[in-house]
Amino acid sequence: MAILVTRRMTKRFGGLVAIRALDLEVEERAIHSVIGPNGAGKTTLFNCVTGFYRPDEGEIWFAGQRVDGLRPDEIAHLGIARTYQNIRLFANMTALENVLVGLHMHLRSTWVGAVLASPAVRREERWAHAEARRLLEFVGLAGRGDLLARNLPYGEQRKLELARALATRPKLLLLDEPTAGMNPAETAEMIQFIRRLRDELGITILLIEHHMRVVMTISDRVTVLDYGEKISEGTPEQVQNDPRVIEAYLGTRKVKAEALG
Amino acid sequence: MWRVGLVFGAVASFVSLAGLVEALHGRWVVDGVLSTGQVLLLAIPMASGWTAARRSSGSLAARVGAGLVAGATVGLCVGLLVWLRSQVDLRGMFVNASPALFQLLSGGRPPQAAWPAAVAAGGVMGLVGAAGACAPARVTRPLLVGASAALSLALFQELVLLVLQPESLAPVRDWLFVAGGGPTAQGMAAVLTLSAALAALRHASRGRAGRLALPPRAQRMAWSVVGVLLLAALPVAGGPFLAQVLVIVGLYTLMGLGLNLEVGLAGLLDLGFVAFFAIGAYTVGLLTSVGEHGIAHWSFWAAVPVAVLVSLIAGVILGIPVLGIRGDYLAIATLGFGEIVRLLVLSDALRPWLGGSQGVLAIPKPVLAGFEFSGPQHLYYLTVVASAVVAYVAWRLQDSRLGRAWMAIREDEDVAEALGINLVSVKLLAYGLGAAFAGVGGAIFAVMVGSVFPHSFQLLISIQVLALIIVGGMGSIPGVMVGSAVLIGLPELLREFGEFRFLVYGAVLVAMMLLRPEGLLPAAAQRRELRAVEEEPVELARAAVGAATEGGG
Repeated sequence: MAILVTRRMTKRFGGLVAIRALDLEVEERAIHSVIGPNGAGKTTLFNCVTGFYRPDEGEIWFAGQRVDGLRPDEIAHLGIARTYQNIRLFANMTALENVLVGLHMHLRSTWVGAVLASPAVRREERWAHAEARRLLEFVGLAGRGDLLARNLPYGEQRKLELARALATRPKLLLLDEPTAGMNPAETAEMIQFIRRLRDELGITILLIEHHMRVVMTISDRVTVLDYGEKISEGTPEQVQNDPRVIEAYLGTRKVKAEALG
Repeated sequence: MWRVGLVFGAVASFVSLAGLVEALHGRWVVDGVLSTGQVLLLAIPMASGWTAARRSSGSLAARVGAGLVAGATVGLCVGLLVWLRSQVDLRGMFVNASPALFQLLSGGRPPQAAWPAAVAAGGVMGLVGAAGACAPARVTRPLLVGASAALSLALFQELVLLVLQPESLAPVRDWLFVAGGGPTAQGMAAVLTLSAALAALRHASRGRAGRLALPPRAQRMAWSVVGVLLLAALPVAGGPFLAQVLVIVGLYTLMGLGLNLEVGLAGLLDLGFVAFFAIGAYTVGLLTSVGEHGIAHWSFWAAVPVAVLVSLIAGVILGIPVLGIRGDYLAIATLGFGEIVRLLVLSDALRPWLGGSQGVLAIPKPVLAGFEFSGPQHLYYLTVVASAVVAYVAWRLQDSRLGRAWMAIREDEDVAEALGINLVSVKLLAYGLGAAFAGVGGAIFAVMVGSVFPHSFQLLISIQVLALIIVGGMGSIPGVMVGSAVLIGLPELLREFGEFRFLVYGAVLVAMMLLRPEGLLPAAAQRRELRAVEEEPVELARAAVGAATEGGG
């Protein structure tokens, strides 16, 4: 069953059509990649799905509910979380606090309760801290909770962003180039990690990725965008052998060889 | 080094011509020997020498030489100023260029002979400054502490005299001060050595931390007890004047704590903050006044909760239209709000209810169980309790779910929203609670003055509150208190230099932003990180190496 569906979704910026009449279906518990050259509209798609942009035409459905037009925080409540291409952490907060913000919508305490330090609030805070530490451990940041996010090395910042997104307990996780700037060993580790998210936590993954090897290794399904239009879709093998993809997207022989190799 | 000297020379000429030196000359550091004005004049070439020696990277001799030149250049500037004054009439342009000032600058010498002496004196002080820059911290730190202590005693001598007024303290007083004059040489020497020695001891024991120290918890307890006793004793010892100053510091602390929620935690710049202070004051005024504008004749205690509530609602009302505005635009919009409130209470249309420029008069003092909080010494305790309560609330909020949400929208509003934080409710709570804090301050202000006028709620107050939280350290509760003590308390205590208040104020702000942009007592996050260093040095070192490689690559 498809958990995320867009129907004829269009997003324009002035005269520029960033996404044109996109039909996309993401199956539940799939790892689904979106690829395409720079400016193809991949990140715009993410921004529309998370409610940061409102599509000009068409519909977005998530888990049987129409979500276009909802505010980003409402969409987050429905179970969509994301990471960003250029890591966007709360730089001047500690790693633990970053994850605690991710837990925000699962906490109930009000400011009055916090001021009065009621037993319920204390209990909840204790639980939240334990949960946040558990999530840090899950992504491999055990013991790093008290460091400021901006002082973490790059690879750990990526992990922290993931922990923060996972704290919202998403059904669908949008990953915007999760392996950008990583060396082969780190990339392999990330691939394993993304698989774990799907296999152990049952989270559906929608992925933007430039690393063709990553895309071809982990994707169940691949959608190819070019100039805001879907030009191909299917399993990694089907997409790899689609002449339109080879022609329009992969371009030169060198890239083609690398991608297909 | 020439350039450093010229900059400091310009500073020396400026503070002289602005009249600051002469004003400070009226206050002895050592009676009959040295005045604070002279200390200022000598400190400038010293600072020049220090800066030049710091900046020059060569050998020891080169650094000392740089200090010498930089100090002497300051002297030359002052000497030139003296010579210039003998040629042209400076007084036409600089009202403060008085004969007494130049008597001081030239040391009583004729103008032609003044400059060699000035250059020599500047050079010597430059050398001293350079020596300070080259010497290790364990030598300079105690000296600096000693000098600051001595200078503080000189600046606040009237206050000290006030404390020493009781006849039982007369021996101390007579030993420290010349009758009817400034401090004695022996007193100054004692203060300087004692504080320097204490600082040296502290520095020496730092390496062996916890040698004979109590456990941290007990230590904290001990400090809190000392702090509470000190707070309770201050107005009794210092008299009504000090109590009055402390009440004002307390009111600014209340406002600062409120604005700190908005700016420091939630990152919402607000330049109209005084409006909430005014609303709190007017609410209490109207509800309690026995004059013509009083509407309820309530007691202060019944009016305060209403004032807090009204301020909170006003905060939310301000918040609604500016929800979608960010950054600089927000500052301008809130600036408008502050002025609107002031102009509304000033307006003729509302005069029948709010009294226009006459304001609301005859606000009675609070009475609790038959005890009237009449003078500043009584109101002081009210202010301290109110500040403590508000600080506690702020502290609880800071570490709560809401506090984290505020910090998140300060850091990145879009990401916070994508994590499920409702920006509308979180922002409105920041405005509302911040305004409520200011309302408490306004309520106390109303009973302190006994009347409220629109004139008391100038834009300047909003700016001062913003300045004090920046100087204290954004988002830090102790920082707010230190900030208001430094930026509000000190100028109040040094009232006779009132005309130079904003000169010094501005200089302090510029210097702070250049030298210590994080504020005097920065927020907890940095400290927490420092603690983490102690706990897991290996882990952190690894992180630092990682970060360095990332940064380098």
